[in-house]
Amino acid sequence: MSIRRQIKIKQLNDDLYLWLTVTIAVLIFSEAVWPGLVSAYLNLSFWLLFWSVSAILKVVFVNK
Amino acid sequence: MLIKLNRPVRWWFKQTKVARVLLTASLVGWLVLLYLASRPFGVAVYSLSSQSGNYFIHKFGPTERWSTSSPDLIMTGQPGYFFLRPTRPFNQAEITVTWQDRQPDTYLEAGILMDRANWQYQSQPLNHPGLNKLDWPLVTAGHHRLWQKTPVYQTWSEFIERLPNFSQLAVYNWSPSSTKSINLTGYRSHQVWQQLPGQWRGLQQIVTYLADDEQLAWRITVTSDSLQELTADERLVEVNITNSVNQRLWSEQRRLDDNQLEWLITAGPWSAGAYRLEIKASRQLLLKLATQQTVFGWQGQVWPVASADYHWRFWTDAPAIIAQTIQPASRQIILVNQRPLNLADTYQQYSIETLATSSEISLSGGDVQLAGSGIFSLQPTIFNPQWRRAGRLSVDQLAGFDFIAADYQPPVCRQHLCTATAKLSLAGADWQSGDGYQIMLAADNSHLSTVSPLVIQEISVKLRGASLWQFLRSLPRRLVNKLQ
Repeated sequence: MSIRRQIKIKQLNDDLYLWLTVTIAVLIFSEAVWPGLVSAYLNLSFWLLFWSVSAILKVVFVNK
Repeated sequence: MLIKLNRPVRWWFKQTKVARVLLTASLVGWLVLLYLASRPFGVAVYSLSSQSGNYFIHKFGPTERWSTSSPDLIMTGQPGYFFLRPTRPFNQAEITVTWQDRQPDTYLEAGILMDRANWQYQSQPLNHPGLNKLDWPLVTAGHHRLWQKTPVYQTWSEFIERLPNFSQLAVYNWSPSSTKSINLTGYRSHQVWQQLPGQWRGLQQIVTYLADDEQLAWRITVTSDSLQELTADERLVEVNITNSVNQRLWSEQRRLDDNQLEWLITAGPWSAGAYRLEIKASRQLLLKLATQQTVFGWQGQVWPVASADYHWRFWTDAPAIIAQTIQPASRQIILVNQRPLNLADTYQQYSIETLATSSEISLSGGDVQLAGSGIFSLQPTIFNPQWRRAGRLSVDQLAGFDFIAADYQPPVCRQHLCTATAKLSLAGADWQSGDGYQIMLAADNSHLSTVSPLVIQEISVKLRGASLWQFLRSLPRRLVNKLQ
């Protein structure tokens, strides 16, 4: 794989990780301030699991 | 300050286009969630058609009264309960139930728990087969309906102005605001205390007659037979005295100290007539009662408790009697007008219909709860100042009256599916942390079972409350009230 392509993938990965982290932080804060605002419509546990898996993958594979 | 504001702006522009698009999508999604949670227009509709529930309508129970073999909403026993959990406060819930027509037809009511310590529900009708089948001439005014065996009244207002006699009229989910004054001829008060036998469990709704210048005088001794420590709510005893038009004349609350409370209730005198003494106490509390009144009875339900060898005799004008016990030792065969009613299992309601205006009930020991739309009395002469309630009467039983007045909208039935709506006020309703409001679906007298269940197609709840604009307008008033 070319370096340019690798940089592009790394950038996309960083963007997705940033989006997931910011979103999950906002959702957890919103739920803490207003119980039911998020959990009525979204499964927060599922989102947290998704975020945890992506964090592990990022540390293990991408940052290498 | 400008530098601080600039920092997030610079951070935003440092991000790639992809990240900015994703974060904008998240912001839009969050705003949608905020809209759904706050419902700025003051209306929210939630519905479901399976027992698995959702965030808003959930926790169907008790499990033995819902079908376990199917995820559908199939009631095999009654009453069934579920919880309603809106994301913000509302004032009213319109509960619409769509069910499959069944034989025999189902008496269906929806109620909301108002007081957890006394298990008091505010109920509204969904389906009353007796009224649906009544083919008498009908006068309607809004939701109010008047059935007349022979037409006497042309309009509802004419009926309100000239009410018929007590024996002629049965009411359902409605009662006249003006009642005829009751005067017992030949009644004489005498200020002698009489101790009532045994003990009486939980809520007492006692209707009594007071002469001119006669004081209401009751002495209660409250104890508990609960093995567990009583909660603060369960230790509370509240006494309310209301007159025949339901105006509260006297009210007081006390708490049990060391699991005991002695209370001498004296109030009045007022003008001669019927008064209601309501003693709100939890089921864990037992009351010993003594009174100076000679004419009285228990309205709606009575729950006597005594040693196993004590023989109780009650008289009631309730056309249908429901009996149940929660104590295994109190399972027995009770006699209603010499007809046996076997209370074979605990926590199971057993009912018997009597077309008599006075029925005698015999039972031993007690801890048996008797309920019915009428008065339960320790004497054969039943004092009932209330209009007779149509409750769950069949069309044959309703035919015994000349007029039936109700606040009732019959369900709309099409292709074996019936739909009806009950409007319940959420003001003052009991909110259970984490679960929300408890809603009850009652189908008394409908003999639900696994072979003859009630199949509910859908439950839909429309909530109405203040809009965002109304909330913002009320903010200054709320702040002033808080400061005061």
